[in-house]
Amino acid sequence: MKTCWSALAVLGLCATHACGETRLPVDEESALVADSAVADDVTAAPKPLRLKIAVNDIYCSKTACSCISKIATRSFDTVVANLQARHQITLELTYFMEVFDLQKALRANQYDGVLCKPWTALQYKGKTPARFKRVADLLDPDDKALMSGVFLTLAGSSVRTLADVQGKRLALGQEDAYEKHQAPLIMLEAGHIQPSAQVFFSSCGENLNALMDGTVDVAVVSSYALSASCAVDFAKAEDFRTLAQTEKMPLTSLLVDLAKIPAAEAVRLQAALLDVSGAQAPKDLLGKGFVLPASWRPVLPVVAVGTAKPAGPTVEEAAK
Amino acid sequence: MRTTTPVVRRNLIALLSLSSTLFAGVPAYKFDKAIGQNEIKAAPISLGINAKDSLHVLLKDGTVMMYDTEGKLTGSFKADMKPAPSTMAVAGDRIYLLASEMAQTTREFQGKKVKVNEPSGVKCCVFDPAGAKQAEIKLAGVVSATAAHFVGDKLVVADFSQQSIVFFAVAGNEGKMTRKISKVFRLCCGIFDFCPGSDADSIVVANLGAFKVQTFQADKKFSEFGARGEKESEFQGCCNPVNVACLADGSVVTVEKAPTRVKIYDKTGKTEQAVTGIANLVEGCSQIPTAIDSKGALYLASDQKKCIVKCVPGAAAEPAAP
Repeated sequence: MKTCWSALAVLGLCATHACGETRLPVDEESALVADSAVADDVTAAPKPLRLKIAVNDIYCSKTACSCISKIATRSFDTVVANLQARHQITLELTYFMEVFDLQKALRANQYDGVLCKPWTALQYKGKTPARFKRVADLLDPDDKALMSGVFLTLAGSSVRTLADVQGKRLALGQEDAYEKHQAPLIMLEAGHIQPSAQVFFSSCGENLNALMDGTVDVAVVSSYALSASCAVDFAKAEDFRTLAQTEKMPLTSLLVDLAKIPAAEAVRLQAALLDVSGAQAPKDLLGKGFVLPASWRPVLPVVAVGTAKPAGPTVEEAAK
Repeated sequence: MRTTTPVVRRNLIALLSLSSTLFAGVPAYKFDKAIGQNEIKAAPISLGINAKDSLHVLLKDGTVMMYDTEGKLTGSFKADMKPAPSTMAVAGDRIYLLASEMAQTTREFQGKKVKVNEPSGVKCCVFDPAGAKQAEIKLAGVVSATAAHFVGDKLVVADFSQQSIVFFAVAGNEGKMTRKISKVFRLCCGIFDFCPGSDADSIVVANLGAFKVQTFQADKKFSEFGARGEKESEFQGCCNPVNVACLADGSVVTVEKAPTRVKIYDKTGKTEQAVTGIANLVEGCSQIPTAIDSKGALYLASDQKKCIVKCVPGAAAEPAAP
């Protein structure tokens, strides 16, 4: 009982809104924070726990595109078996290759948790009954947990700094990709930088295509776009210049819906994930596995509040 | 009782006329039948149709199977080519089989060196319907062949490795490069498909990494449509569409991999209809070779189900797809 109350108290603190007048209520800590007493209890008295988890992970062989099949060889089979054997935690994984299908499932509130880019789930805060918290971040094959958005221009471009984006044509991501949409817009907002026109594509490939075709001067892509996405087949890192990076954010997290799963169980899952990671991480996880979730408070750019896209003309509108 | 304003009425009429225009031009397509379900033993990797509407199916092991319009097998042969052909073009009674020759090389992925086999040249052999080899053509300037068609009298080859489309004038055992379109394709997953356009000398390309369908005329990009998105009219997946084919009126059939979605867009890409009754034809990142005969019958190859799915306009019944 003490365990439950302490966990809930911590969660309560995390859940305190820190929103300004112009911010939507996503401006809160997305990570689940647990205390050590809870973790001790977990190993002392494990009870069966079964969770339905949706998965969309760029390094997982079941959800990645085949053009990165040489590096996207991750399997969750061993870690799932280890969780069951050591902690009596059963993760029923459903794999989504198409992120739109995952988004539909999230809107339909079908899962207890999700293993994906955290914004994919967090974007629906307040729009569905789910209350997702990140119980753990998953390290990439280089044991890095974070990624960012990257402002790119062509290697031979005269655009050299973020300030140079002023008055230039810019390709961004759509609202479901925080690193390509909200994060760069916040940077532009902070720097009082106004592109002459903006276009919002749903994939890094389209943004790079627009840049390579010359229909935009600068494009924002995910930091893994040139190493772990379809773009590896047609865009080489040396052909681009990096102007700036957005804030860092978790690449892949395991999020649990606290509206469905008691906080104490979420904390127990967190401890169990850490227990089967690090030195215990199976080889097929491609790295050291799960780590405590980094603090991340996603915020929305002021200009984007209440609108489908920020003010200013699109590239097509500007052309007209 | 609420009445419509003139503006609303005008918009409704415009909308209705737009729909009827589309459906008058392109009747609804539906699944008709599966062909070769018990005959096709290896993955079908390329489709071609000759002037008599005979469907030619190239299998991964080099076998060419020929079907009539009713789906009856009329002939087959296995091409003695090493490596096995990767694509096919059909012109009259001549069957052009193109193979990508492979060589081992080392590539780097995220700092890790990996040995991979990559295409290093294209071998083209010409066969008659009985499987007798008629010629071997040198195609200098292409490294791989993922799709091939005749556009007018030119043999046109899609080269994934060089991300280009190359036009050849073929005479005897020589293929002379006449044109090349390159530097504009954003390709991935080893897939690169195109089809002859409805206008002379034009081709329509599935530029899947850019989520676009692009028409090229005389080497210049003439028009394009498409974007990734959640709407029915948009393309989904990590890259799509994987294949394209053109109807006689210039409408473009687009084919997306898993989940398989087949849609018919008007020439401008502004309106589209979904072809109904088709289940998933592939798993993951795979192409779905596509062809259309002179009567507008649409053929789709499924390597997962080892059959050819035929869809026809205005099919009366709607049987279940395999």
